[in-house]
Amino acid sequence: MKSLILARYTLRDLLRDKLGLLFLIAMPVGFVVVMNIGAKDMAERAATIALVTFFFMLIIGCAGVGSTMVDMRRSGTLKRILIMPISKTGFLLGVSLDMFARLGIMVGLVFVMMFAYGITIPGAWLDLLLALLMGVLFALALGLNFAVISKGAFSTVLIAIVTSMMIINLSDWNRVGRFEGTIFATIADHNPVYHLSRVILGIVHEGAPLSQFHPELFAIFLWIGALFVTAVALYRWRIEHML
Amino acid sequence: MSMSLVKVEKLTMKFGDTTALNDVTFAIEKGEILGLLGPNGAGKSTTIDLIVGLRRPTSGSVLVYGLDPMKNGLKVRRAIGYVPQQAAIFDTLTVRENLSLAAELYGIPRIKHRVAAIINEFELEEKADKLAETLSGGQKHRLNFALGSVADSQLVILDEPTVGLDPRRRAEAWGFIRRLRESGKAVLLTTHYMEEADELCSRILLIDRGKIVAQGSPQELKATLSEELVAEYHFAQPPACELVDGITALPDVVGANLDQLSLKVTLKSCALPQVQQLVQESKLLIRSSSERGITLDDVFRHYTGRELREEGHEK
Repeated sequence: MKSLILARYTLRDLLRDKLGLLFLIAMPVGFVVVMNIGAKDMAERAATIALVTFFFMLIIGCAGVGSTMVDMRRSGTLKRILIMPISKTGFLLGVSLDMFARLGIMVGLVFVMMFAYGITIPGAWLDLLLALLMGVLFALALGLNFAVISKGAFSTVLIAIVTSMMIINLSDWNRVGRFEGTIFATIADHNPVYHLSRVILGIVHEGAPLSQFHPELFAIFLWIGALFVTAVALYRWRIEHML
Repeated sequence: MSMSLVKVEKLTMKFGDTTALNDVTFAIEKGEILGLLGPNGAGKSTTIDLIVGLRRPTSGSVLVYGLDPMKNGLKVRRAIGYVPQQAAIFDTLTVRENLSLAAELYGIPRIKHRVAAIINEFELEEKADKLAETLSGGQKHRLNFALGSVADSQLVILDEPTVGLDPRRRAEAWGFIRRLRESGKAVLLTTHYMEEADELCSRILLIDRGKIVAQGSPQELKATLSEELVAEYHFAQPPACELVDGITALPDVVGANLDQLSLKVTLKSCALPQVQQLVQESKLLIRSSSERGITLDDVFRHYTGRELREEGHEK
């Protein structure tokens, strides 16, 4: 599969970029260390780490896939690849797979650090891992949409960060009820970040299995699918009109 | 009956109110180097984008190996080698990895063997396992060409491959294009360097503002103005309009083009004494004057009334 070929080569970039590799390792490690300072309640600590990891992945995934595409456009490699026999969908999947692997490593390291600190959760670790990886997929699908329409690396990263933070904020993820009775409550009900937060908190707080969250998982997959389809459509439009 | 590798018919491409290509028709035959010669913004890159199926034409048709590139994009692109103007390479991959990536995407069998042969052909052996970012400018351009050759396609598209190159690198690039010709491949070469088109192309399409204004072999194009020559005068001060009007009014003068201090007059040789007389009578200080034969630049000017821009061209 052409996407895997592309991802295999672009991932080598990560292994050669010593500073990037250091950041990739240091960030999740440092993050878990900081989150543990002064923390007492085990359940709360696990929930905070899991949720903040998801929010981080959302922001980094969105911005990362965007800047990768902008870099390729600037260096001319994007057009070169486009004139090679790889479909547009295959190309977008390839770019996403590369970023998925990077973020997957970061999530894995967060888990390792949580084990090292003796943090336990009532639910299954695998369920939590799968939930976080779904969050990464959502981030990449969202990021691809910004990547294909943005022009500069700075604006891509900025749009990605601002939009992710808005989505997080509008999700009312901790259900404090501040949106009650307003249009924002309806928006929050359809917000994928809200659904994923429910899944993550359900696993970490209540020990609920992933299979218990059918409606939430359906909504999240619907969002991921829809965002990927719009990214491919935008990408085709962009190539035909503005490349 | 031989089938054209590329057949373009009545191709029109509009971007909003701007017409990038207007009713363009041509074909690329096996073994020929077809030059698309025109200034920046003439529609050369748009033509390439349409041939490889990156854009959908507003009207008209493109067939590559008999296939519509918009409907059979993968098949068409598998059969095309492409060399862009900019050295578009992955800096953080080695030379070998850059070529292997391209070879894998093209689905080439015996990748290692093919990549080794290309590395050898483009004299990149010493740098084969070095990161592309460590290559010199010349080596990067060789890798750029090598990437366009890795698929061994029968059709190679070169999009202004020598823009901004120094004479040595340009000679290298010309050598590569000649090798393609010798191996019987068809080449579409876009350029705005007239001497490049003159030297390399078997057939040239002169394109300006999205329209093909003339086509033929370099010899045929120049022969359209064969009885003519170009007289060039460089003055110390701007000449008056009356001088230009007087010259243009002469019966055997084809055209006169004034650009600040320099005047180019295309004329039949019998008109030369009269032109010289008018210039002398103007009492302008002439810094230099010369007469020369027809070039593709003159042909282009004859058909469009404009010069082929030569910016970034180092002699």
